[in-house]
Amino acid sequence: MPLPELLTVEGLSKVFPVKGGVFGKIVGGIRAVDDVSFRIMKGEVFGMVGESGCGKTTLGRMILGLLPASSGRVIFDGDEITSLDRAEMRPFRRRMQIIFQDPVGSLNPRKTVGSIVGEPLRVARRSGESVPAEVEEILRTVGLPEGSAHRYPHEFSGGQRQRIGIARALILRPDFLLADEPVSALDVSIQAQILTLLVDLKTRFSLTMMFISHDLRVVRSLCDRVGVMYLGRLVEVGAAEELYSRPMHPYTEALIEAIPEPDPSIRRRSEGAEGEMPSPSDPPPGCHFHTRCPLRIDRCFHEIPALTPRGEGRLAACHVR
Amino acid sequence: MTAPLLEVRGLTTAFRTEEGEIRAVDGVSFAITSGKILGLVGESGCGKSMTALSIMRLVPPPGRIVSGQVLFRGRDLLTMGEADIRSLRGDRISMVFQEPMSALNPVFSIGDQVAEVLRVHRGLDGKEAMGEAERLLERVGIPDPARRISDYPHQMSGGMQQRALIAMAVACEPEVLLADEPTTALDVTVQAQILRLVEALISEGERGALLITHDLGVVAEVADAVCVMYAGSVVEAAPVQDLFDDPGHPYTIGLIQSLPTPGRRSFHAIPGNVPDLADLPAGCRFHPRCPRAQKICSEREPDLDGTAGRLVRCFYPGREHAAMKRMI
Repeated sequence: MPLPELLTVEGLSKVFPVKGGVFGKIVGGIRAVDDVSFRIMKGEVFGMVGESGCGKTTLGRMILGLLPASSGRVIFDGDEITSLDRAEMRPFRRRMQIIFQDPVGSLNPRKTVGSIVGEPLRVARRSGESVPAEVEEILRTVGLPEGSAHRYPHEFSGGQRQRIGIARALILRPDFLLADEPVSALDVSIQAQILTLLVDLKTRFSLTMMFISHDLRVVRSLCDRVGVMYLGRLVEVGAAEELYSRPMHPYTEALIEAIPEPDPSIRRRSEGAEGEMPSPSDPPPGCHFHTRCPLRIDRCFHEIPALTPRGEGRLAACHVR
Repeated sequence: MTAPLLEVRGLTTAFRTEEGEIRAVDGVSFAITSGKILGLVGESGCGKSMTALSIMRLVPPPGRIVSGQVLFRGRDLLTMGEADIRSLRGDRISMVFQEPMSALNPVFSIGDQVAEVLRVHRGLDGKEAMGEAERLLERVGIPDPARRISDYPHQMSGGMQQRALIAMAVACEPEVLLADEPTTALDVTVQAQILRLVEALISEGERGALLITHDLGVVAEVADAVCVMYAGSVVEAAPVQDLFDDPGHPYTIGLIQSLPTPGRRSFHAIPGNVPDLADLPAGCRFHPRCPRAQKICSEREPDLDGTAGRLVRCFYPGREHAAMKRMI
């Protein structure tokens, strides 16, 4: 029985205008996210992977309404939220939260941890009164030491600051948590601490998660299903283990092949994908990946491949496979 | 066994701070040999970058090299005159940094910057140097070098900038290449290409490399031998296969275990945090985070001990733990 879906993204696009000339006239656009559609089921951890500039962060911001979409729709638990104004969006805001990559930059250095973490609650209740009990409880839940509420962000290590960010995101008991590269800035030994915490909190709070990352190893272990983005487009979606062990899109294959395996006995000698990702301001026509693809055929140069079902919930956008 | 190209002995680099003197690098020893890549692994603040800067005598003030030797062709780089070290730097020993954008000069073309190295160290004239620069850009895999040679850094992608930086580093056919996180700022598909390039540059000549990284995957992929650093000192040194098959130090074991395992949604963390160098724990620096710490570990610092090429700084190193790793 398929799980009911919590989030549906339909044909979502974002075009950033490019200004030129002395009058700042709009002379073109960068299609950062290009016609992306997918669904996230309730209780699922959905991973979105891709290299820098692929549009994954922009996509996340649009889903949360932090950035207006140029076109397309976001449907959250049955309600379309793309066209809502600030006031209409408010009830959804508390149900959809985000944690960021940079735990330092996202915490106000002049506020105590208690004030930072309690703020969403005060805003949601529109009252200035303090909420110490709830703050204490969530700080304990994310594994911060007793008395953290009265201290300032700079007194904490990188891993602990990410815990503060997680506490702030979870204090409103959201249904959906968007984690945008939450462990990328952390050391390996600390990454595992935060990932363990996220797995634990997902169960405890019955969270649905979207995990945006360039770290394919982490995504493989953490996520149920994974989407792969390249130059603004979603090129493949599938169950994590399936996708990693049997990649369908040549780009997915190149990405997975490029992961350095922590096992010296299986050294690779191939280079993986040739060349580099073209500039998003001047993407190649047809399939965006054709400039680097070992399997390209004539059709790939001019015709955009659609993301089509390939059985067992797998979707891929490739003319050849 | 060939003689090492470059040998670091008991290198100690300290910084004077308000909280007293801290040792960013504390008694580090290793050797770089021809045709091999030595991986230097550790987390941020462990002293791995400062080790490379110390070898190059580029330690930023108020840091200073307190003791130790860096032997290159029988000479100690740490005691030679400033003019001598300057003539070696970028010529016989060169370095590649993590952030290509900040290591390249934004107002000169890539060709100018590569040619500059050749003019300074090789005494080539302008035209010869540019011709050689073009050949080097081609060697490091920059497509259409005749055209790209006049590009400025901002016109290039991160991967191409890193290739240009590598071209500068190998322009004079150095014997020792120090690469500090050369692929950390790059995407994974480009990282694979750059690692292949570094491997090719090492295997083609009388040249050895020190590859500094936080990524055990990168080490497993390209290094021949590995030194693991923790809080300023080397805690384990081993050939790469041995290190992954049978890690000896509990920190190395922890690092390997903290890598995500496919198909398993559990992550093995090392508890606690890296200690503050100004406030190091007594005894073994790792003991507050160590699952098998005993009383002695908080009292005495263990020596880096073992047989040639297989050294561990631990009172309780061992196989039994490696066996446990497979059980978990």
